[in-house]
Amino acid sequence: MDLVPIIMYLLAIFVLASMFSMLWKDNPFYRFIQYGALAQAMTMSVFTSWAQIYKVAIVPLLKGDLLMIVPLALGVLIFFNRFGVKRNWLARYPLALGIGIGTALSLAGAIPTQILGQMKLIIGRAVFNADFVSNLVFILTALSALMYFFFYFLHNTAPGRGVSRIGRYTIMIWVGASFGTMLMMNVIFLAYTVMYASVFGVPAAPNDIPSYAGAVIVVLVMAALLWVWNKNQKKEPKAI
Amino acid sequence: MSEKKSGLADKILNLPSEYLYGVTIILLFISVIFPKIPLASVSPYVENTYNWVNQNINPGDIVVFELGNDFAYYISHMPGVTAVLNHVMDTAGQKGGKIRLIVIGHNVEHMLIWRYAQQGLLKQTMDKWGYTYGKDYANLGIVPGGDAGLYVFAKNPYVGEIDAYGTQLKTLEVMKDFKDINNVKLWVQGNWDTMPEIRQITGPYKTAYIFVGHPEAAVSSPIWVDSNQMTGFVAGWPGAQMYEFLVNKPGLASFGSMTISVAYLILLVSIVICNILYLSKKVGGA
Amino acid sequence: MTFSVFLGLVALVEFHYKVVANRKKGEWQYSVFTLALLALTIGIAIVLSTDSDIYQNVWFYFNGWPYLAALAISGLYQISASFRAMRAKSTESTIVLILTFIVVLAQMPLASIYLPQLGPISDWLLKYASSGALAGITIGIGVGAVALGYRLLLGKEKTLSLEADKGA
Repeated sequence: MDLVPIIMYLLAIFVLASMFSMLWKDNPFYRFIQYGALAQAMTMSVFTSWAQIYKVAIVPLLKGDLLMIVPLALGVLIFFNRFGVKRNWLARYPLALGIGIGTALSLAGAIPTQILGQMKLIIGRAVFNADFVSNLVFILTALSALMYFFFYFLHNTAPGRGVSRIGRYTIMIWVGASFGTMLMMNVIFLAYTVMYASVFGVPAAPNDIPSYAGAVIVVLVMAALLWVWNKNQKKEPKAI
Repeated sequence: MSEKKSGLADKILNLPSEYLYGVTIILLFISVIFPKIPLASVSPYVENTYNWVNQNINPGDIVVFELGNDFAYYISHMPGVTAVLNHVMDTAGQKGGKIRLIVIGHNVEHMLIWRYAQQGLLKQTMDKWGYTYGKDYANLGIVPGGDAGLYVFAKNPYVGEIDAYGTQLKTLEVMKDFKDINNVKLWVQGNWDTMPEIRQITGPYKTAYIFVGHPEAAVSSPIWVDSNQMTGFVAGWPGAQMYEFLVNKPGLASFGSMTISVAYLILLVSIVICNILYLSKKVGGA
Repeated sequence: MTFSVFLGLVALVEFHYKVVANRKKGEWQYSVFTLALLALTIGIAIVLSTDSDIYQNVWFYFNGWPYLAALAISGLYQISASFRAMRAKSTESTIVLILTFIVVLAQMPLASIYLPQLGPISDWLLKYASSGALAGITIGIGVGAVALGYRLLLGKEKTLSLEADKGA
């Protein structure tokens, strides 16, 4: 019997059970995993960032592209954020460049795609064909949503109030659909965690009795340790 | 009578959360035992995506696969990404060749997720058709910078000059004749946000683009497909199950269909119970 | 912006070092663990590489699974919230709940067998009613982004100026 996959599976059960123990109470198991996750995330970010800098700037620099000194120097200027109010103005330059370039590129892309592309879609639906009624619903919902946002200053007038109410209701249609799918997403993670613990993660599911037994033992031992820990916690005096 | 009713409603609504969590988890564990649910209908958008791949993917086409999320969120579009990429590779294989798969990422966990996807989920198909690194596929690593990074990559995929493992890009056969985005046949993205790609890839260059996202993509993506700024999309596990049904290759999403259904059912029953009790309190109070 | 990650590392080490040095009650043990794990994983990454099996397993157990569990817990919270708080108190909230119900039910594999009519209804709602509203909202977001970008690039956005910092 190969013990390594079973041990790895039991470690995963330990980590998942530690995280789920937070539902009961903040406890040492959860805190250790939480702090461990933070340390790991930082390490990964540091090494990945270094790999990106090396690939994009240092490799070309070593090959003779001296222009790469500019982005490297700008990147180093970010560190001046740590050196007090008198020197942190230097950190603004790379931030300004990054924000400026990012904003410009986003704008250049937003106008033809988000604005003009969607306008073309709305206008393109104004055709008399088999889907005429559906297209009319599409155009009316789009226009009412647009009027809700653009003509908000008319909301206090009599016709404006009616239009804004219709606009609100049509926006709520989208909000409802989007909200439903958002709920579905988080529930999928819950379902996957259960599926992992019971099938996908188990080395030789569904006939792997040692893994299942080990998982139950791990959870029971953790529960016992948490019960002992909870008993030893000092109880706060009740307010009079 | 109305006070008794509202008392009962309050008692039920104020049940400790632990009972609810416990019932949910127990029901989900039980649902794993039951067989998977066969699919009854397929969304027209998923069907169009499947048909596009069948009709347009040919051997030698460059397909860029972009991984965007961290590992936890990747679970949501993992089955869809697997189904689409397997289908793309199988389509090219059935036509007598292989695609050229270029993998890029945006997240710090890109390398780990690619290894998880490659070793676990795409390996069988890649081994079946004989995909080798450097000749048929390459991992270019992370393309940093969001919109700016995509803008630069679209004009010059050789930025950085090395792949994720330190190999010179010019030495990789898979990168031959790949000068810019106009050489790319299909862009497959597994992420939650589609806007940077629409702004920088499909908007200016009209590249074919399949988006594999969370279930929320079923709501937000139709406007992009209908305005011809997206070729198709696969939304979360339900969309992935539809795609697996179409390619006739049951995978993760098909296997998890009963558990996913039970999870959604618990959600809906909770909403219904909450509203029935709230209305009964309102009627009882009135 | 990639360089700012190194700033984050310095800040993290500084914070946890202070907690350990001051022996903050109930916290210093976790900070010792954090610093030790940080040193260990940096060591593994330098000596072996981030692509090694050991590093990736450490990553899975300290980063992959905890974040997945955190998302799963948020799923449980949503079920709890849907049990307590999702009430149809007004017309808007009723519309939201009805759409939520229809969309979730239609995407459920179990429902597609017993309620096959729901699929086309949901598809129609998503393609026409919901997408219409979203098209309008997308145009609004685009115009708003252009306006904000214009203000940013011309320096009219006060929140990002030096004066805003001085005020703070």
